[in-house]
Amino acid sequence: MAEKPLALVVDDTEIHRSLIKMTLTAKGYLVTTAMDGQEGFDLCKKNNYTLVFSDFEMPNMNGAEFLRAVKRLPAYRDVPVVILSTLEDPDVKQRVMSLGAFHYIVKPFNQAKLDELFKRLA
Amino acid sequence: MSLAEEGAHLADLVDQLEDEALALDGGGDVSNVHLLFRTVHNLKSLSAFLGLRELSAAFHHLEDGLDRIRRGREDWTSAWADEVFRCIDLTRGALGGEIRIPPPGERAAAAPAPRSPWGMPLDPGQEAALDGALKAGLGVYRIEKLFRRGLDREAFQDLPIMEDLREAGTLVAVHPPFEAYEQGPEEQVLKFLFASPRTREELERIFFDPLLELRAPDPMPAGAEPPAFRFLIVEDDPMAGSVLARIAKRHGACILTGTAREGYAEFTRAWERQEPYQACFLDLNLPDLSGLAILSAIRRFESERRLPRSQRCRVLITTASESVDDIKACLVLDADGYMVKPMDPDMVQEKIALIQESWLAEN
Repeated sequence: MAEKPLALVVDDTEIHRSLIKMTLTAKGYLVTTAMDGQEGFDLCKKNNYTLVFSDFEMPNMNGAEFLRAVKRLPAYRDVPVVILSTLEDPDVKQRVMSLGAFHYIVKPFNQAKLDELFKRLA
Repeated sequence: MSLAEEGAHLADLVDQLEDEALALDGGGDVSNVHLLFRTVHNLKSLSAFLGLRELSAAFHHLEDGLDRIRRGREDWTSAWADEVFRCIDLTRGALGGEIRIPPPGERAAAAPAPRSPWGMPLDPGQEAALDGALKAGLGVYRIEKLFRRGLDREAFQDLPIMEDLREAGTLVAVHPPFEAYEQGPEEQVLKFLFASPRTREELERIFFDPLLELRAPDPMPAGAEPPAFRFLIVEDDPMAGSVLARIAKRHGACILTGTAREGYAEFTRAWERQEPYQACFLDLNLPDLSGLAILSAIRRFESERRLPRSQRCRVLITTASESVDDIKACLVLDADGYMVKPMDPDMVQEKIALIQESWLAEN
């Protein structure tokens, strides 16, 4: 049996972590979760994730700071990082995308938004 | 988590929201809006998850408003307080619980937070640093960011926000201070007060956390005059450097370097470009070499080129030392002036005017 691809979910809210984890597990990923950007960044340095989801509003290190730190790791240059945010501000979205995000999802996320994402990933 | 658990979670969150709103309604500090925003954000997600559409929409509206407030784009008014309490009632209604409207006495009971123009107490050293920044025309800004307890001092210094602050300007104060953060609650909002020559728009391209502009930087004089004068500033103290740069920029073009080697390299490169510096602010205590070493190198460079005295770079030494030996050494090496730190912006202004006058008179 082929090994499952690894995914990381970074979110400080338990409910979000478990929701995204459930969705990604159903898509065949082996999912690890982290409570904030810093914990997520440390995990990224130790493991090779093929997909990363991160919340935007988090303590210590927010989603944009996490994204910037991760994209500085050579191993993550081409790994898709999806940012989940409550901010619909197009300016914020554009800035996050320019930091190297693969996709920007405005919460609350739903099946349609995820389908769009996985269509892009495929 | 089961649906019943989620319901209980919703009830807890709304109790928390009520406590936070009561604290803020008494005239609380903006940083409490962050806590409120966060709770509302979680309530929105949870109600959306539970399929409570009306509730989720109400929290969404509230969340947008709170986001504008915490970014300083809108004021917290009693209308927003009413909106928070309306959402609390809606949630309790949805939960089938008893609707409780806090009596007016209770809502007013929360003591107003002490107000300072900068939103935090400053010690005399911080006041002095801020004063220098203000006199130099720098802008003053505050970032408010949520932290979770558990970072040690080193990890704290390594955070991206600290890196961004170093890029943006000069950090004046953090409140609560690190020691209080370490012993504080599980989650708390820390405020970073910093001075920067940049505008709010420029800074908003660096930071993602809410940024409040407490004082805009002075506008640069209209660009009609070409920068007639070129200043080289060799200074490793960021605050002194930005104060000097800010004032110097009113009188011409200016480059700031932080080490002796970089400073001297820039001095010689400017010669190669045929745009030599007319004036140089030179710190004595630099991380790599003493400022005196550059001063003597500059003078040697100039005498090798047989430069007339009138066209030599005017070098002003800046230092925290009042030692007679240092002053003597500077005079021997032919410095044009000596300024003791902390620098008074009025004095910097005066020295620059004198240098320019003498330059123009002699050339």
